[in-house]
Amino acid sequence: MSSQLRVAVPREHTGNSIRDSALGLVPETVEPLLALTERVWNGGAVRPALLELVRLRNARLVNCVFCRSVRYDVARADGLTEDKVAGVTDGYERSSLDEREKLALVFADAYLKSGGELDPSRAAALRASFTLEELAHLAIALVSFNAASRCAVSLGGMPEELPVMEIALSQTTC
Amino acid sequence: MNTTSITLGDAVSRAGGAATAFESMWQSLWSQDRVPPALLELCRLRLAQMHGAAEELEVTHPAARAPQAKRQSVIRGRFATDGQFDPGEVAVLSLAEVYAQDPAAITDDMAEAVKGAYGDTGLVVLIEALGFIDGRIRMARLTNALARAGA
Repeated sequence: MSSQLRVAVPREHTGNSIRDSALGLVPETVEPLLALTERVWNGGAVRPALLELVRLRNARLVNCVFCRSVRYDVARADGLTEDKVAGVTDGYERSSLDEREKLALVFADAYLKSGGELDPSRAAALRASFTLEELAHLAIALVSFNAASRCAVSLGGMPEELPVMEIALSQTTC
Repeated sequence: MNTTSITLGDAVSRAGGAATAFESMWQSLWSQDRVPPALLELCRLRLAQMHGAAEELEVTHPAARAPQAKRQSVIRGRFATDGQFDPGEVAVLSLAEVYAQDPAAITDDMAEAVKGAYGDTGLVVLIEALGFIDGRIRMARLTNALARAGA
């Protein structure tokens, strides 16, 4: 993984973490991305604390140091705790996470580790525990989280380690 | 008919405003002019082939029709040697192949080759596009598995 940024960031600093990154060099795609981030976290069918567990599972499997260190303020306000975050490890099936949380991670793992393959029994369990609206929202969120973290890895400049830090959602949306 | 990366938007439309934003993001990748959309379509085909997603090879993004001979070359993994592609196209497709396996394995030389042909912003758009292309291929399969479970 390259520790050097492969593309220079914009000279103008706006205070928005995404717009100030290399992604901000392309206004025609960064603005829709900011709008998508807003819609993923605000007012959707899935609560932010559950979305954050899925996002952190993705961050762990992609090994995006930035993504792993971040906690969104809206997720913490929704009840996310570091105890919950500690459950997002391999072996989460045996953790203290509740059944819906574990199933959301099963959904994430099918996407992240199996290219979207999902055995019928797990698919049936997901259908029984989540509405179609929730599954659609989780799908959109997961594609967005994964694209973002793989983007961060691909464009370089990743530090070896970062402390846990809270970020306001407003720093990453329109 | 199975959902594909092209039709995933219909499958997730129940998500309302998030689905609308998801499709706007997707369309922005196919309407930008930093990397030719036809080349992104070839990347989509290469990633689909690597995923073994046969149904993806039967569809085409409506905004990005690539020549049939190039489509077949990419699907067969011969783009680097068969003489149909210029160096910039080969650089993009080569980076896409590595991205699909492990983004951390992309080398500085690979990134520089893409930048040499399409500039810094071309590399940014390519990386963004690969994320959504690869993601939608994976999610289409997952969506199909969930649909079968509910049938």
